[in-house]
Amino acid sequence: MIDPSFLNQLNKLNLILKRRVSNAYAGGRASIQYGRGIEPVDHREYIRGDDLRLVDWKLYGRTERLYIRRFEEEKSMILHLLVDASASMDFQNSPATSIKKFDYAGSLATGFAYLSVHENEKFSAALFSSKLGDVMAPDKSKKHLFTMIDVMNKTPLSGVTDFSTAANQFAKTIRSKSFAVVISDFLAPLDSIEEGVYRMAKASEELMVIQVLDPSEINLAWTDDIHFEDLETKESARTYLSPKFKEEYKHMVAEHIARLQRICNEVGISFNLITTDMPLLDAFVGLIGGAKRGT
Amino acid sequence: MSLPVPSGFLNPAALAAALLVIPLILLYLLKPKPRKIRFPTVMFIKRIEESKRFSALFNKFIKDPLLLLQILVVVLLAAAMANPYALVQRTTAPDEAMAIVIDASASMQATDVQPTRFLSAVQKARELILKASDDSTVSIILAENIPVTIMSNARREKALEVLDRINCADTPSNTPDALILAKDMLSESALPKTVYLISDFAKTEGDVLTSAKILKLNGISVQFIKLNNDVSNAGIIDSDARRTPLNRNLLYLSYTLRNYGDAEEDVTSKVYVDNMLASEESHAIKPLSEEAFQLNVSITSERHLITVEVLDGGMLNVDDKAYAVVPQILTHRTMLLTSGDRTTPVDSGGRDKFVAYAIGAQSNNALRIAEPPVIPSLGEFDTIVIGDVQGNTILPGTFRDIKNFVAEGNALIIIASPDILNISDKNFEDLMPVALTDLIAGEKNIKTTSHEMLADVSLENVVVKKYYRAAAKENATVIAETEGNPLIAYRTYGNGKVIYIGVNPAKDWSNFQYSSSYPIFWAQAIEYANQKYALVKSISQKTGEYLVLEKDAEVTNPSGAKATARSVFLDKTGFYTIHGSDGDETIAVNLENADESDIKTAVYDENSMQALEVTEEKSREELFRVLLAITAVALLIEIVVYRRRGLL
Repeated sequence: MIDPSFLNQLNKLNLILKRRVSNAYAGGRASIQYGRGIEPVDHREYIRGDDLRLVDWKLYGRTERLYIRRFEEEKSMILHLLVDASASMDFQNSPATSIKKFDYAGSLATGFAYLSVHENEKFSAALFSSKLGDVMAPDKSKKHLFTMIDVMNKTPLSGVTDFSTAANQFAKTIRSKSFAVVISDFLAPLDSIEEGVYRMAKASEELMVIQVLDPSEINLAWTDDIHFEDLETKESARTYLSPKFKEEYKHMVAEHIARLQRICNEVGISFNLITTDMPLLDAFVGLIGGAKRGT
Repeated sequence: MSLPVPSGFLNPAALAAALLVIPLILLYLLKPKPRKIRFPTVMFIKRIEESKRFSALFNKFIKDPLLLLQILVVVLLAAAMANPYALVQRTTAPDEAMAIVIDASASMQATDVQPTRFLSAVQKARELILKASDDSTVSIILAENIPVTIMSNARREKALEVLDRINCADTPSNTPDALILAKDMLSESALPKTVYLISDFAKTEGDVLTSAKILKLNGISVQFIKLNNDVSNAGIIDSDARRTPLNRNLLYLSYTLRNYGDAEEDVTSKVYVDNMLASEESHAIKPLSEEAFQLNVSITSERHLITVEVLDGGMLNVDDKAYAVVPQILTHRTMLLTSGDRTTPVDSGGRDKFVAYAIGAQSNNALRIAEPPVIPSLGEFDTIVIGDVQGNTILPGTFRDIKNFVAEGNALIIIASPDILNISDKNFEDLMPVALTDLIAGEKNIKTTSHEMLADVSLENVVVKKYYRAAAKENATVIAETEGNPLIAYRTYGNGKVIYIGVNPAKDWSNFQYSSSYPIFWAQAIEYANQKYALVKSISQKTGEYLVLEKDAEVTNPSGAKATARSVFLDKTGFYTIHGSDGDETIAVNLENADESDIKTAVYDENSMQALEVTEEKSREELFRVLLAITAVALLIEIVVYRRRGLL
């Protein structure tokens, strides 16, 4: 469940974000180009060939000269949110952590969507597991935001992560001038992840990869004899969690994360690791700060 | 310290607790389901598991030291509850009254047990004493043929000191008596009593098992410690050395060698006369048999010390030598008092011509024949023989002189004669070894006892036809008699000897004078009558006997030790020298004991020990504390493992 209080926190955060700062939040920025838009920017003298519908007749009545109205060309950067809804995201090591990975990821996505709506920018969203699902076309209404929250709250978390396939499908919906955010635990074979990252990077103007993990996934919070069942594949593994074993495991997970980061670095995209024990707002601020720094 | 090997369990039923290992293993195999955790991915876990896969159950056991430790703990606890014990030789014994009987007989000098059986026995005794507790008492007895008490109920420190000073004797063994002595010595003690007999168990006087049973019946524990490697031996078991009767300058030497082994023994025997090699011979002695050897060696009339030495006589040396003393031949001056007539002139011996012949045949005897009443001065003689004389022809005072003559250390020999009863002189009666009553007629044989006067004399065919009814006087020794009437008797008077010979050398009295033994008898009789041994009674004795002297004298034993006593225990073979006021006298002491030379035979064996029900004392050392200690260590290791796993 997406935490509603997070939305209130985002409202306060908006004061900070009033400035037109980020190309990460594309909406609300002045365009350097003129074109057909809603708000007139200035006028210029009519020249032949200009669209007569653009002539400002009121001004002609006062000045008897033909001027045409010039409008700011719409330069809205669409936000594309791709959130992992595979079974592995349905994990929370309660009571150590108070939130599921998916809820955390969804909250982050909501944060991005909120900012987008607030800046009157469109955003699209999609969930994925073994394939793309619940794709919502770009829109900038608040209703769209709440629809997204509703979808996230109701979507059953199942299936195996296939980021490559999902990225391939989602990339086709992305038009130019887009900012894509992928939120997943990326607990899948790195080959598949690498391919998906490349596709998304190619399709979007800018891409942010956010890996959300529960701390216990990194440190194995348990001891003794444990029977693990894989949430996605339902495979089981019984093992004795000795300190040595846990050390090896931690080392292996760190290696996985490091390789994922290398992949992102190679294509010049931002990689962020978030653990679910971090306060949501802090994590989100950190993310957008990072995006700022990335500009 | 090595862990003692358990000999048994005091509570064996508790071993069943070890069966708990089975449910433990089952629990391990069927242990409660592990916590099930639904986890985002087991990808990494599986990778690690695969890199260390030991799927085999055995490997699982090995891999998990906790299970092994737990099994160990259960088994150790079960074993501890069963209270195992080990029978170990007591190292710190409880207080006891200990008597150690060490066989110190000649056979213990055998070298089959290095360095010797005796020295090994002393070492064993030392070990026993060292194991004894501080408050134990120790008695030590040497089992010679007469048990010798070395120490009685002493502290063990003193006993250890004494052990360094005891020696093995050359005597026969008498371990049974030593055991009984040990029993008597321990009787006063209130402590538990144990008698240790350390011996080769060669043949001994008496029955050692019977003595041991007596000790058992008296509540005394008996332990036998046997030092015997069953080796064979050959040795001298008998010897004799003396001058031949007919040629006093010829030594007759005989000795008997016995081979106790199962194989023929080649031995070389050497005969030394006064340390000069006189003869050397080699002999092959058949297994388990004995052979006697004789030889003659020319010697002088002086005293000689004879030594027979056997080389290659096995592992016991003490029986490889025999010793003998051949006394000096004394020259005698004898006066024969007789009477004669025309047919039997006095010059040729008168009525005692056979006596005169016999005495005159001796080269070392100067005989003078006289007929009372005229007799030469007594001082010219050392021996007076009173033959067939007329009682009334002897002048008064003659017997008084003779009495003084004998008292001074000279010899008087009185031959029974028809007129002897008519000699009615108080001095004569005082000298006579026997009291005569009347003359008896009738052919009778003679019964003899062993005596050096009769050593080479055969009286088997001698018949007496007339003899005096007689009774031996209190201080007289009878060596031949018939029908209870002394025929040859002697006594000492003062420093001299008086011999009565009841066999008259006349045709109608006996046929002794015709016997070839007759001159030998007279030679030996005069020799014996003149023996001047002031101190010793015999020049040949055996070890284990006492040398009883006439008075206190200094005695040097074969090893050179000197002691002044009237009675000396002869525990060494060889020559003992007695230093008397009239000069030194020497006697020969031999082992010559067939049982003692038999060092192979052990009178006790394992079976007889079982019959005696003598069990070796062993202390029971309970091991549960050791097991509990090991269990504690195992638990500590388990705790360490738990801590390493972060479970504690």
